This record gives sequence, C-alpha cells and structure tokens, in this order.
Amino acid sequence: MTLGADLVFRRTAEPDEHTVHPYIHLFSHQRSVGRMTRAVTFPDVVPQIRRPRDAEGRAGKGMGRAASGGGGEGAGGEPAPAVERTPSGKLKAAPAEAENSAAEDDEAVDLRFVQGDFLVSLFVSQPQASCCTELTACPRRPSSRTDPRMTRS
Amino acid sequence: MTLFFIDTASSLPAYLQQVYRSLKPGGVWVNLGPLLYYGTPAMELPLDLVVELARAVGFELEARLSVPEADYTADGEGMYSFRYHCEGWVMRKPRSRVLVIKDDL
Repeated sequence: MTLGADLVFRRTAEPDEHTVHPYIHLFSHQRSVGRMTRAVTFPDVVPQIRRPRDAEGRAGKGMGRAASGGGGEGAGGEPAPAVERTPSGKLKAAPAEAENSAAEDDEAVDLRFVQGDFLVSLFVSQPQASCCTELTACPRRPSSRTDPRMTRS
Repeated sequence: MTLFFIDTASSLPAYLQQVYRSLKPGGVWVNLGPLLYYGTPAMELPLDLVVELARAVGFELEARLSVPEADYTADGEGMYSFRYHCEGWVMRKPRSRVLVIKDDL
C-alpha cells in the first residue's frame, strides 16, 4: 500500500501513465486469452498538489491553492476539493480546507491528501458480460441453479 | 450431461475424448458450469479454447448456454453469497465421423 500510494501520489505525472496486466496470473474463470491478457492503465486522473516554492525551494505558506478557490460542494454536504484543469491537460487540485494548513509543509499536505481528500480509483470494474438474456437467472430466486428453464434441451 | 464437472479434469483432452467415446453416434452432450481449475491439471484453458478443443475432439457445437448468476452453496438468509457465471453448450457426436486434421490448434 505504501509503494502503491507513493507511485500514484508522488511519481505520476500523466493520466493513464502506468500499465498493468492484472488478470494474467489466474487461469481459472477466463473467457478468452484476449481478456486474460488485457492491459489496464491507471490512474484516470493525476492526484497532485502543486505549490509554488520560494527562492530556497521550500513550499510557500498556504500559497498555491487552485485558482478556483473554495471548492465545490459535494452531494453529502461536505465540501469537495477544488479541481481544475491546467493548460497541459493535467488535473491539479487543492484540498478543501487549505486555508487551515498554513503552517504545514509539503509532507503534511500529502498525508492529508492520502487520508481522504481524494479517492483514486485504480481499477474500474468491467461491465458484466452476459451473452444469453434468455437464460439469465433472476437474482430474487432462491437459487439460480434450480431454475427450471435450465433443464430444457 | 456434465454439470460443474469438466474443470475437475487433470487432463481435459482425456475427459473430452472419454465423453466422445461414451456417446452413440448422433448422441448429445450437454455441459454447464464454471472453469475453476484446481489440483494439478495438465492444462487450464479459457472458455473459448475449451470449446475449440471439444470441436477438435470431434464434437459439433449446436448451442451455447449461459447462466450468469449461479449461486453456490450460499445461505440465502446470510450476508455472504458466492456465485459463478456459468457457461455451457450443447454438442453432438456426428453420426458419420469425418476426420478433420486441424493444424491451427
């Protein structure tokens, strides 16, 4: 987890920069060789805080918040972090309560980041592939395997 | 009829050949189940290649079956269940065997 967080939060500059083949290790339950060997890229956005640094190379106090300022409002009433798209196409974001982090250095900000300002989805579940709607079992049935429709033919 | 069965094979070709030999010419083989390979099988083929292997043994594919949500040994009143997405088929042993040599397998 520490390595994964370090990779995504500190060593990622471009969306979909990293490629893995997460399904290649398991032979069971595979529908085809093509699906088994398919690649997955991540992350879909780059979670990163960029702060201007002073002449000594230290992060400024509370500086560098995203231009959009106070952030949007989440559906649950919690303020969502402000996100804007930079000219290069990367996403940059500011924590929702950056005003209170004046005394924190970069390390502290990054920790806050990991602890819940953002959720990063590494793997998106694939849409379920069902090739026969006629035999699709209803999940409300006590047991799909006793579905009488299965016994024909 | 083989249900939740063919993935138990240590040698999948031997299984398929035995099914083939057991059928009369014109006989039908219906298979349905997951592909959970365990033990020390000699080969663990994905679904599409299992079908190809069966056709190479001599079967003729007549229909494909799919049961996407097959609950397996679950307590229906509990908080956990496990379900396979089962695939299957109807295959027939031809009445007259035509020897087909396939070199693309």
